[in-house]
Amino acid sequence: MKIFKSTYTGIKLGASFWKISSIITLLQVLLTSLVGAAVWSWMGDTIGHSVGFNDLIKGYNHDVIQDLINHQSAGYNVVLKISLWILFLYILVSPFISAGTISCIIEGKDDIKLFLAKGSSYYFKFLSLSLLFLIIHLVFIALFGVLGSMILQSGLESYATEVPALRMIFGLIIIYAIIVIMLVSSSLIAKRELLVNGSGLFRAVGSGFKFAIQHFFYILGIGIIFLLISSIFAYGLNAVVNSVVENGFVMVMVALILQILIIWVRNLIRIMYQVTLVLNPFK
Amino acid sequence: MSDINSHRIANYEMEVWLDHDKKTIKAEQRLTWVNHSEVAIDSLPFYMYFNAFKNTESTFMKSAEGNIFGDDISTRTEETWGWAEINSIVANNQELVHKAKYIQHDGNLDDQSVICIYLNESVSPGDTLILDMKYDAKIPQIFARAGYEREDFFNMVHWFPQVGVLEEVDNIWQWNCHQFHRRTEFFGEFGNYDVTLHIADHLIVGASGCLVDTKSENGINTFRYIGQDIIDFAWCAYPHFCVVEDKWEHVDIRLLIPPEHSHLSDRVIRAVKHSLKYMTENVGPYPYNTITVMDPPMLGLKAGFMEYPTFITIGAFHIFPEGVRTLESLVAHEFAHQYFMGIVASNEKEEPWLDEGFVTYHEDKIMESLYGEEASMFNIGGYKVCNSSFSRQEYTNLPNPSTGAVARQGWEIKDGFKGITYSKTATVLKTIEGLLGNDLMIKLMQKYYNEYKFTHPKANDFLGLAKQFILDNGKEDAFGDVDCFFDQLIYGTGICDYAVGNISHFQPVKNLGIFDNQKEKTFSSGDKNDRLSAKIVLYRKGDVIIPVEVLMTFEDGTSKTEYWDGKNNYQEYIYHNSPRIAKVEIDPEKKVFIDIDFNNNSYEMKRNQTALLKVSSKAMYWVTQALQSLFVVI
Ligand SMILES: [Zn+2]
Repeated sequence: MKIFKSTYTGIKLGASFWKISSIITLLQVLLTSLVGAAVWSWMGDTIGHSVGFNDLIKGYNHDVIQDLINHQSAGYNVVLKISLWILFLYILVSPFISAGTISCIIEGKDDIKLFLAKGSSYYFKFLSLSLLFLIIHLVFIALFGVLGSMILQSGLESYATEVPALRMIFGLIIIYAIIVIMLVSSSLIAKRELLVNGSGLFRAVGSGFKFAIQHFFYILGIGIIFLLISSIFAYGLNAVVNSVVENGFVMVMVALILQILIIWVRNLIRIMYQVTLVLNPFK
Repeated sequence: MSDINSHRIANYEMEVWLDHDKKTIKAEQRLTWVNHSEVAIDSLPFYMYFNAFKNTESTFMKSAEGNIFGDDISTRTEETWGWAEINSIVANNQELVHKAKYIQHDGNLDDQSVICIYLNESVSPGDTLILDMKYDAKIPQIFARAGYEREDFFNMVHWFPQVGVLEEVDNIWQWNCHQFHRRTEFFGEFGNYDVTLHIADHLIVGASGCLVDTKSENGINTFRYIGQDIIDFAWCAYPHFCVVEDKWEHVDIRLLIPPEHSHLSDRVIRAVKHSLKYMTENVGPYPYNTITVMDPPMLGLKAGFMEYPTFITIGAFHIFPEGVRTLESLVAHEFAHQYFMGIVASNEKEEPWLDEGFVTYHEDKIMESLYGEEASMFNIGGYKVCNSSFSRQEYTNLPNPSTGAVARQGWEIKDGFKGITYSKTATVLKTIEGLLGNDLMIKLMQKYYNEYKFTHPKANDFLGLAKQFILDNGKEDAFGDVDCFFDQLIYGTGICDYAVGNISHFQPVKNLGIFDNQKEKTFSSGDKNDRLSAKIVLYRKGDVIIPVEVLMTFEDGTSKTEYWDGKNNYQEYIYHNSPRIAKVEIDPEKKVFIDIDFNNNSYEMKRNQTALLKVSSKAMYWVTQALQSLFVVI
């Protein structure tokens, strides 16, 4: 089957891009370490000396966290704001990452210099494309949000039980997932068009959608396979992280390293997916 | 059941015909009422609950302020309103219906939720009155709890003309029969109920009491239920219920659950059995032979989350993860009401804290004894919360935890009904438990149960009993001024907050400076002292004064416990020739559970960098995961 063959090739080739995955991980961790720093100073300054704070080493503690949020809400709001700003900043950083990664994939080189060079030179073209896809995605989120709440509202009112409404919501989630897979694939193909054929923005977007529609099942199949791979992976490794008993400095460091490893592997899986679609057999 | 538990003052025999199409009932009821007072009685007030749903001018509707459970009442059509009307009242062969009058002791003259029946001949002390009534009622589509919904779902609670409670207040015998307010429901007299229901045979029925007889004729099923020593009677009907039956010791458990929730039956039954066990062992025997649990379908959800004698309603959902135990907690809560309201029948209208607060406390105890004290309520994806912490936070998370006192009349509560009446009360009781110790707390509750079962205790009854119990057990030191303790927490609105202010070390210098020595001024260079002095400053930031223990731990591993009466806002301890302080903990065992901020109760000189690293790295990890998941399309 074409789908499995391309997936296999994608995974095999993608696995060699460990340097690119590392630099993406580094960028992400650098950004989010700001959140870590904010949490450090907030908690350190407020409850760092409290005996109750030690309970957090064992895991979530409702008394400690709720009392903290109740009585030290200023710092909490700073952490929330910084997190939101980082999410926004990432929108600006990701075109750079995409341009660099896809260029390296096309040239078949796991080369950080190439990643940085292409990331900078195609940055603005990718930024416009990313914003366009982000807007399309947001429109779909809004649409599905409204649809979902309408189904819940009317479903709970007009049916005797909640089951039909739940089924409809489940159906809606599946349709939404399919749309996201199509959007992600179209966006990738459009990015390849920008890089390989030097197409204009709208032409590239057009051919992205055209390709996705023409090869609907192929794209859907690959999307589902990678969705499954990353879900199983995320679930499994999170279970590993949760099983680490972080009762001292060494174990906290072990968990931290594991967490960064999870982030790194997730990035690598994404690259494998990109390799599968960008180097696809349909020319 | 043959034991006679209560004085059986108000006893009902009823025969009820349900017209499920027209949503009406026709009923006949005989009330056998005993005048247990020392005065002759010539009138009796009755609750006419369904008239609360007659129009927007009832006290219930007015206090609902336009919406109930988020439902806009302005769109209600004619057939969705309800009412009750008595057609005949006969005593001693004399018709009295023309003399009956709606009364409005609570002020709203348009309200018809209480009717007064005036007798031709008064009932002497000790005598028995037999009153035969015939009435019709239109069942409302559920506004709250009582009524019908589509698919022939009926929840018949607070539905029949029920006599008020005759009680002695300040040596005067008077009726207590309030109008039906939005938030207050229960105050009824104990008695026996013999209820016969005639209901179409497609409906599955559940009710208070024991089912003693069934008949079937011409498409109508007849059920006869007998409930003894109860203060109210409720029933329900729905065609699609699955019936699950089980038994715990002498108690028949009957669960009515819609098919889409039936996979949750085991969880509900387990919670019922454990509640029975916990309350029996730690409060007192469950004196009834049955408990019926009704889980409404989604369309009847507004009938859920309620308690009636030997009949409780819950609220399940098709998807209910095991680690989310709010379902079990709800069962425990509604079951605990069998004791507080059902058996120890305080006035929920006037003193809801004696009802909901005691129930929330026991709900927490039931859950924590079943699932442990770490994660009894939530244990999902690392999110672990126990019930008592959850209750405490419902109180401390209020925008204003001083919004009102625990002791408030139900209809006066505009803010913090859940956070104060339920949760602050539960947290106060948990504080009493902390100060008394768990074993004595159980004994206190058992004493309250034994002394006030099948009666109508008031706040002072419990407070008097609790204070005496504390004194009898030599525990007054733990509470400080016992009267003041209860005044602050039950009638006051202040908060309790103890905090470690600061810790410092200094080297004391003695005999340094110029001293008069035999008419000469001489300079002394001071005594050297290698050892330090440690100074600890503590604050009481809230108004509430409760004595606390303070544990000082020194760097050499030794420790010292101080006892602070908490009377001043400021307290300092100075230790001379002391090792350096490692940490100071006020109330290290969290006995004073009502303290609004535990985090400031302690100070450790060395900051725990590892914990800090852990939480900071977790925050970083989660936000990175969010980045990776949220922006897949770009
Ligand atoms: Zn309750």
